[in-house]
Amino acid sequence: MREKLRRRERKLYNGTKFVICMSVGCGLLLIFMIGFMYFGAEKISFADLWNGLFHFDEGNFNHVVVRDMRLPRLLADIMVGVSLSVAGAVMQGNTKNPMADSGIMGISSGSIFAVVFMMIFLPDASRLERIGYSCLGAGISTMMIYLVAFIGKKGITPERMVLSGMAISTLFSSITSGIVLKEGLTSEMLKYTAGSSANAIWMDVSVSAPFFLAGFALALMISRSLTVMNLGDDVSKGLGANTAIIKLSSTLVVLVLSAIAVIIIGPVGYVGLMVPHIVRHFVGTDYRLVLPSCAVLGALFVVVVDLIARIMIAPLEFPVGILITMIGVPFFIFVSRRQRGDAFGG
Amino acid sequence: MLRGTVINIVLAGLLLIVFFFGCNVGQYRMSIGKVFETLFGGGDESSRLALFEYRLPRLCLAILVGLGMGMSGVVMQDLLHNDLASPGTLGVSAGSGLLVTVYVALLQTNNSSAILLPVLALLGGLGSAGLIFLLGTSRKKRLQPTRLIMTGVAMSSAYGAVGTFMMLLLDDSQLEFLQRWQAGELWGVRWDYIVVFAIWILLFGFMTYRGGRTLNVINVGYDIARGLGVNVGRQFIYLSLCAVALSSASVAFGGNFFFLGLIGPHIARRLVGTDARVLLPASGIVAGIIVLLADMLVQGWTFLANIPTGIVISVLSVPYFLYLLMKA
Repeated sequence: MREKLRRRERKLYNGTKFVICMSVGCGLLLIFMIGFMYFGAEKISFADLWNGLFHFDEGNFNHVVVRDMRLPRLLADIMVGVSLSVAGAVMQGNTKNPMADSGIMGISSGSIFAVVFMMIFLPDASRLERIGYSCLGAGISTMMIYLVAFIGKKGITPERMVLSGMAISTLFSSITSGIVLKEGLTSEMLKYTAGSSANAIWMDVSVSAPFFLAGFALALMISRSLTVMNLGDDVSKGLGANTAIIKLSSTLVVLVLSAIAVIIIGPVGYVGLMVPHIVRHFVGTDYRLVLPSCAVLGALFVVVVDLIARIMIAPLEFPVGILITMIGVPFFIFVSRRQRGDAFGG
Repeated sequence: MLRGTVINIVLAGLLLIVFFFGCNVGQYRMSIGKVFETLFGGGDESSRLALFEYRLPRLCLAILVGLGMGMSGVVMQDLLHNDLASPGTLGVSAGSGLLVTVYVALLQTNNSSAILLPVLALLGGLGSAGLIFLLGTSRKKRLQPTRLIMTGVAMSSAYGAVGTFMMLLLDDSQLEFLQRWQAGELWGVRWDYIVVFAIWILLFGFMTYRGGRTLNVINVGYDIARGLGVNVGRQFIYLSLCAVALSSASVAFGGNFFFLGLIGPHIARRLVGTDARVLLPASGIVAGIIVLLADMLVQGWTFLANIPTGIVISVLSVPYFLYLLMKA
């Protein structure tokens, strides 16, 4: 009885924390969104900002900057942040691997390969086709990673997932750089691999948005089952969950969301590792609370980092992907130090 | 031991055979007879030029890179008791690479004195090995090899990010040089580089080989080694230094061959067993043969022309790595 009470208390406690986390996150996100629109290489007054958004005048250069450069980029950043962190959280729940991340695990290497392949062999492809191929690439690499980690006596362990991800991504990235070097596209490729949303246009946002929304909605739909799944396959089967369908749909979520991120910003890792970790620290392990918080904090994180990247060495830009990696690696090491010894099987 | 020695001799013979075949591969066509003739002092001017200025340096470089990476991988795997340790996975080669990248980026040059590059790479490799060791272990707990490797993988991506940033500052020709170098191209094809490299590999190879017995004991277990009177801490540092030195020089002259230091020891272990005294040379030779074969593919097959050798090695060796992972 007391145990039950305590659990109830704890649930409430997490619920309160969830509300606090969401409201603070949303508030900060709003502030930084305005900051993102306001600061930049071009000085823009608040009046221009307001008018550019709501009373658009094509002849006014500042309005064009606001509407066609900063706004799509802001939306793209938000989409990337949400996608990466939700994909990371879902992946961590699905594989019960606290270190899972679409970039670290090498899923994005397949998308990058597909994108480069298209850049060279199908240069006229539409954005929609690009997203399709990028998803396909991500799908192939994911399948290979899972397959390799799955076959074997020990089955899927976090360590084997990371190592097989590393090997598969080395394979894909070496084929990619082989093609790039053969075709002499090094500098374009480099700009792409550094990771930046600077070239995001309305087209990207509008084409990816439906997929993004569908992926996000699917993630929310399976959030309850993910929480149950985290208790272990046997328990969740006992509770009547259809593990196969949930695993399949969560893999689909990861694929679509990480492919969108790759299309918009390039290969960016570690967001999907950091944000869910921080979120779980606040709101616990209930995925119905974790996923929305991840979405807000992920968007906040990418918007803030991209803002820093834009104004740090203005008028030039620091590649945001590199900045994120520089923040993410210490975090990864910190987390892996805190892991219990058996988590890696070592 | 005897069996191992015999296999080593056979492997060395195989290396020589591949080497001779390598002399025959290239854009300028030469008959085998002519290659022999040229090798031993005869031949006309164009065949001498092709052989001594283009092919031989490249082949020697390939063998040396293989030796360095192969031996270094054995040492790291034995020291950490983990089959997945290697200069690539531990992030040591990425650290060497970063310092070379910074050097090329700051001085805006792509040719330099022969001794400076391995020294820079060594500094980078040592710094990175130290950092990974510092971050991947903690005083309270026992050494956990897997954690070290995870830390290494993460640190490599950090070095990669810094490297990419430096590369954004470069012009196109330096950029191409660095990209190729990162993908693993045998670029130090000059006799003066090769002489420095060969001396370096001989020196540190010998020093590593002297630690072979200690390596065997440590491989059994740290506690057992301690019980047998080995000063584990000191030997660990000594052997890691040798391993980092070997891999750094290979990285400096040959570029970043990610999987070589992993695959070489594995194949060699299947052939000669785990005794480090026979495993060290065998692993070096096997890795050398792999680099030679990959390089012959690049040189001889026009489809692959102009592609860095490291890419061919990765594409060939990843399936084997995956196979190992599935079996483990």
